[in-house]
Amino acid sequence: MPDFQCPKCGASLQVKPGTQMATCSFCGTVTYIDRRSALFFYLLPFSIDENAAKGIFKRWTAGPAQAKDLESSANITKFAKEFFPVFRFRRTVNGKETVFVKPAKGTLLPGMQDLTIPPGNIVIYDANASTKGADVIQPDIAIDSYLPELTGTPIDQALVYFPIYEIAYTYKGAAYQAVVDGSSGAVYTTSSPTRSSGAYIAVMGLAFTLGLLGGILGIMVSPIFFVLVIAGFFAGKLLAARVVERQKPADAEVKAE
Amino acid sequence: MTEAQKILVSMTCPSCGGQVQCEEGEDLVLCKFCESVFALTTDEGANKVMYKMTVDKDKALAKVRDWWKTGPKAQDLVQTAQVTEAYPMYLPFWRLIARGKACVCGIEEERRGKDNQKVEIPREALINREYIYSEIACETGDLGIQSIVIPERAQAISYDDQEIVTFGVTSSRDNAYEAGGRAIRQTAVEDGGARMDKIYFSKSFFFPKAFTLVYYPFWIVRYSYEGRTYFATVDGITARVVSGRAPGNAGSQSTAAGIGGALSGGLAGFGIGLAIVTEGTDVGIGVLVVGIVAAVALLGYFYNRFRYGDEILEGAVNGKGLKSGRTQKKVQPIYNETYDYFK
Repeated sequence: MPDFQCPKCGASLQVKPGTQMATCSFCGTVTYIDRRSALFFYLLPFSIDENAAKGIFKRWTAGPAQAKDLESSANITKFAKEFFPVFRFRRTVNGKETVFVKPAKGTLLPGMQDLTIPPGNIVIYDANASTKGADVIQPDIAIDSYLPELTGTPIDQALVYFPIYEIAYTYKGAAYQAVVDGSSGAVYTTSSPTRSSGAYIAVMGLAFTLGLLGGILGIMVSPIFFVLVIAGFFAGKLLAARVVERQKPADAEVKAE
Repeated sequence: MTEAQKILVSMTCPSCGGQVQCEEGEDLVLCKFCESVFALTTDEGANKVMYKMTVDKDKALAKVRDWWKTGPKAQDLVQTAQVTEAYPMYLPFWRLIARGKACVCGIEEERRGKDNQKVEIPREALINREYIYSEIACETGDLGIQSIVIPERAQAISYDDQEIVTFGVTSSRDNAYEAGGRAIRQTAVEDGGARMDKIYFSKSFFFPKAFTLVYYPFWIVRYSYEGRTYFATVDGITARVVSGRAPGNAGSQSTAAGIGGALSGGLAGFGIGLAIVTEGTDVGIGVLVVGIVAAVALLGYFYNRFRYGDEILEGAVNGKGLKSGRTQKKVQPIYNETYDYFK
């Protein structure tokens, strides 16, 4: 973050993120900030702590799309709290304000290819900003490598660090990765152990077949066969309970490291 | 002059040299010393409006607890869930108020008389309504909030950095403005063609009235259940639970499987049986068709409750799960500003 001094009185000037005007707290002079050529450093603080992030990951493993025993069998091998850097360019292209987000670091982490800055409270990243023990990943791509290829004229540009939890876990011998956004709690994954719908379809299929037979025979042969519809309900409910049931893991916590 | 000093432009009155005061978003400034007025040519700022949070923490938590009791959520949720944190925040929204006008021509099909003959009635609609478009101005992440409706009792306060966390704007103002105009025009055409079965011609316009950046208050409540972290967001003015995630109810899931399977099978079987017994008369075929349609709908509805019922998703939350509640539409009409013409 560049250090600013009030052009009138020389006192240090507080420049808030996203504003074009700054008022000197000493002499009251209003100064316009021409952000076109400067690079600003911003940070989105963590609003989710380690425990909540682990809980969010655990909730995700218990979701209907994930393998049924993922919650009890996933073994976390890496759990890192990090700030990930991206460049955000605001430019005027054909008279329209356009926002470009580009990676400041090459990565294969899930979700980081989408390059969206998660919702959060954007603050200035300087010596006073607390990173709360998180690793700040240093950019390895220079801003100069993007500037020539961008269209339009600049309004401002910033290096934005956003908070993530990088999680590596194993399930049935295979390794997987997930990222939990440390600001809003979104979970990003590329591949993950999924749950087949087979058992669900089979159970409902059985209940349906019993109901179908009950319906046909009940009309054509004897109303007594309508009992099959009720049998279908109970068979379906009982088997479905087996499909839905979760094994409670011996220790309820997902093991961390 | 250092690099940093180059980007500061001193704001003094060009006629008298006195200091001028101006706010973000203003484009005219009055010098308080010499009373000269001059225009600022800076980046265009949108007007900012912030609404006062009127729901306190206890009320927000009480609403979340009420929400736990609704729908097919885990039975012991109210007893065992622990609120781990609850904090207020302001989310930014782009808000466009504009008059949407549309001319829509088409036909309405109606069946008349004994032999159910299809009659085409030409229809014409001129829509002239005021609409409000609002769209979140940052990524939605896992907040599940896309749009807002500002209640009448909402109290506007001046925007300043206060103790409540305010989420930053990350989307483009011009993109939001364009998207808003498009959505309003599209809604005007849809409103005009609401009664029409076929639309042959439509033309739409929008006349912007105000474009603001609105900061709206919410409570975000995180809670844990069986070691998992779930959340809910509560509207900071109306106290409604807007979005969230909650664990599902295994009992409801298996009941859904039983009811859905057996009932839809029974209906289909009843239809087939009746069609065979009545040897293909109109009544038998009619019951069969109705039975099959109802069976397919029931099967789909209950299968969804069974397969994805492990997690309940409220509002516009992404991912697999059982959707519940409504997603706030981005365009809302202002009814007392409506001057339509239908023929």
